Amino acid sequence: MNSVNSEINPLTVFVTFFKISALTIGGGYAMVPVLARRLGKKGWIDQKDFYNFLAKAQSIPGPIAFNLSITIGKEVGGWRGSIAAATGVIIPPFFTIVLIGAFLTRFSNSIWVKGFLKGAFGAILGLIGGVLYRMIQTRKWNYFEISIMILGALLMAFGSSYVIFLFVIIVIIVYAGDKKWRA
Amino acid sequence: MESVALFWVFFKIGFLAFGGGWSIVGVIANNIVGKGWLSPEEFTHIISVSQLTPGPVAVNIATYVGFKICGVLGALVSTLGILLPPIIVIFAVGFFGRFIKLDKERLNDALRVGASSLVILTLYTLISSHHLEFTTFLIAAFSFLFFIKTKIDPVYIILGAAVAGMLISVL
Repeated sequence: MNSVNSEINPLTVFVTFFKISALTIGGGYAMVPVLARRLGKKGWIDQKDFYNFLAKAQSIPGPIAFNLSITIGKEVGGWRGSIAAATGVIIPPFFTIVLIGAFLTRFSNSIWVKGFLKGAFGAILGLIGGVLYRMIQTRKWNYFEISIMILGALLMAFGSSYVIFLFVIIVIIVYAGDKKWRA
Repeated sequence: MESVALFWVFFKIGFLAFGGGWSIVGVIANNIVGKGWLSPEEFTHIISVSQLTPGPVAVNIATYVGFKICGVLGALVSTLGILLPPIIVIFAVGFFGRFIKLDKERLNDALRVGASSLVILTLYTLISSHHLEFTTFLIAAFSFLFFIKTKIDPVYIILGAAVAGMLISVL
């Protein structure tokens, strides 16, 4: 990787991530292919490295686009690059939300706005169902994992104050039980 | 005081954000709507807007919830709250990573199972906290089918559904 001897200017890093963040709608995962393409084109990071960063970013809590910006920003521009990339990713959505929030407060009683948001909400329910469907479909699950997943979800629904604890327990059980149970 | 409470809620939830924003929406709803800070309807508006504006959905939701409850300061502390956990964990992995060796693939597998439970929780929370009308249910069913059967960008599915919802409520 050539980034060791030539760190990229933090301002360039900021502008690059700012642009990608401002122009991609549809959540963090919509940003992933755009990041891969644009950063590859600039010669900052090649495809294979990018997917290594992606795997790492997925094992850390937090929005995938944000985690990628911190780690890739560091790779191409040191800690300054890391800060530049992270702020570049966060500033556009932050101000968009504040602006829209201020605007919608004024029009939240309009029947048009209400209908629009209600329709969008219906679609989001369907899409979350779709995301779940894909999560389950794209990898081979064994019975052990499926039972843990369903049992975990049930316990979470009934004991909503213990969600964090339950999540940690699920991860530990699946991680530890993995070898014994995998067929 | 409210802003401190907001920061703390999102900071805690931030540690759970694995596998895309949808995993933590249910937990956010339980904490925000459950505590009476926002009504279920206000929360659904926030979700819809957050999916239709740039940026990671979970961060957008945090920003918007904070803004609704406590203005720009609330937006700022909630956003910081949800983004601090990844920064802390990245540093912690950098420091302690060499002492603890975890199989990354197995860890990601385990995280994925946990995240799936959380997504189920999200779906359950959103459905159970609302009086779902038949039209909403229909829109959800069609969106689901479009999402898994076609390659249409989800943003267009949401926009189409939003326009449909607008027409249904106006006509």
